[in-house]
This record gives sequence, structure tokens and C-alpha cells, in this order.
Amino acid sequence: MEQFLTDTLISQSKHGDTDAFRKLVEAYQSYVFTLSFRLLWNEDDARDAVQETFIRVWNHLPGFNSEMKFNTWLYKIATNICYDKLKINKRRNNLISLGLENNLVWNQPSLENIENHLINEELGKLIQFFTQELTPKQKLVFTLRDLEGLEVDEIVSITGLTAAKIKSNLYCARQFIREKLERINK
Amino acid sequence: MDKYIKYEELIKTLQQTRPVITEPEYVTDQIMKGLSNKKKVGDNVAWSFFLKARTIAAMAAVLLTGYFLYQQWAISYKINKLEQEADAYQSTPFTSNYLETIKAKYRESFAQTDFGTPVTDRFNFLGESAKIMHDKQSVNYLRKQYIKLRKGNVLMQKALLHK
Repeated sequence: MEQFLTDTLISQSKHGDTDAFRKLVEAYQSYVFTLSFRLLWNEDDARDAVQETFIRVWNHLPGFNSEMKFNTWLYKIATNICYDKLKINKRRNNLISLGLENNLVWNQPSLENIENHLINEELGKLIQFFTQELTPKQKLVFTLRDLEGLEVDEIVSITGLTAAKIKSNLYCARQFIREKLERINK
Repeated sequence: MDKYIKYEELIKTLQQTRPVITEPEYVTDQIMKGLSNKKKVGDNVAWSFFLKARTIAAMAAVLLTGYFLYQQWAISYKINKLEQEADAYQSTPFTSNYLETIKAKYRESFAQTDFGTPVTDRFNFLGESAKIMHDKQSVNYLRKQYIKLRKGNVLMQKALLHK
């Protein structure tokens, strides 16, 4: 969506125009869904996160600083919501099921198969398989940097973490995934 | 080697494989429905008024607290000042202690002055004020009697002359 159009829709939404806000939702919900899904691995959770994100956007739109990129602001809100969910899920997982990895069987499909046949569930399982043991922070940084392809500066403004912390968390996440890949490849 | 997966390849695959949101219209509708349940941006006037009122009330509370603290300080400062003034007044020449001191000094200097009388006799008159008062009354009585007698004498003289 063009920046001018986005700015116009934001301005109209600020004044309570729900039709304009609907257009904003239609334009950006897939981005938010992708980010949420990559963080939460689950379609239902991701949909809930999308809903929560846009409702929060609507409520906080009057305070939106126009100098900030709307994308960054949207990612920031979505990230906060997903991060909270991740922390809750982590606690729940620790309590309910230890050793979840044993229950998940990844069939080691070829890359071609992944590209062609992965549906949301499979993708979710794949991401979960590689990232479930990461801490919420590591998972967040890895998703934003490596999967979403955001710059470190953007991640700093989204997460509020320092560049050094982002790099160290990213290094740990990458290292962990590499080790896991090594185990699979053996 | 076909199954050997490199990290970069995995990431590339994950980047390119974007999850697809099913029934996006339904999600949009749910969001819009969620908005209508909440208050709209334009309807937040009451809430913003409440927030402003709360801020003003908080500021007023802080100011009042500050004012009361200042008053407490001012009162205690004034009390301290009054106490200091009272202490200073205790040592002024008008207090009884100071008068006693002066009296003692006078007595001392009076005792050291030579009036031609023994020192022990000089203070006798101090205890005889009542006696002096009594004598004074007696003198007045005598003076009055004298005047009465004198008047009587004059009348007697006039009577004798007329005879």
C-alpha cells in the first residue's frame, strides 16, 4: 500500500472512520498474521493475535506518532502481544508437557517438498520444531531478523532491546538451530 | 547429500513460505465487530475528560500537600522565634531577677559608703517602714487636733473681746 494512502487512512481512522480502518486492516492483516504465525506456530493463536493487534491499534491510534513508520508501530504492537502469549505458552508448556520434542516427528522432507506442499500446519510444525526450545526473546529476535528480514535498528525500535542484546540473542538462536540441523543431517 | 539441509537454505525456505490466512474477510469482520464492542475513538471524550480530571486532581493534591507542609514549617518557625524572644525577655532589665540583682548591688554599695553610722544600724530603717507610717498618721492626727484647738482658741478670744 502506498504511503500516502496509508497516511490518509490513518488520519481518517483517527477521526473515528471505521471504513477507513477496515481498509487498513485488509491491507495489513496478512503481514501481522505472518509475523504472529511465525512466532506462535499456531493458526488460531495467530488469528487471535491479529484481532488483538488491530483492536489495540484502533484504541491507540489517536496517540500514534506520525513520524514513526506505521509498519514499525504495527509490528511493535503485534510483537508485544505475541511475546506475552509466548511467555504464557512457555509457562504452560513447562507445566504440562516436558519433552515435547519427542512427540513431534519431522519427516525430514526435501526442500522441494517443503516449498511445494507445506501448508500452515506443516509450516507451524517446522517452525515449532526448530524454535520451541528457544527463549521467547531469542525466538522473537530470530523471527524478526531472519524470517521477517528486518534491520537491527528496526528491531531495536520494535522490541526495545539494545542492539547488543539483539545480536547476542540472535547468535544463540542461530547456533541452536544450526546444532539441531546438524543432528538431523547426521 | 540430497537430504542435507543447510541453515541458509532452511531460512530461505521459511522466508519464502508465508503462512496463508484462511477466511481473511471473517477475520476482518471479527476485528470490526471487536471495535464496535469497544468505544470508538470519537466517543472517548468522557474517558479523556476523566484522565484530565484525574491528572488535575493529582496535581492539586500535590500542590495542597506542599502548601500544608509549608504552613507547618512556617508555624513551627514562628513558634521557635517566639520562644527565642521569650527567652531573651527573661534576661531583660525588667524581670524580677534583674531587679533583685540591682537591689543587691545597691545594698552592697550602700553598705560600703561611710555615712558615719555603724554598718549594722544602717538597715534598721528598712524594717521600720510600718512604724514610720504609724508615726506619720500620729503626726497628721496631732496636726488636725492642733488646728481644731487653734480654731477653738480663736473663737474663745473673740468671745472674750465681745464681752
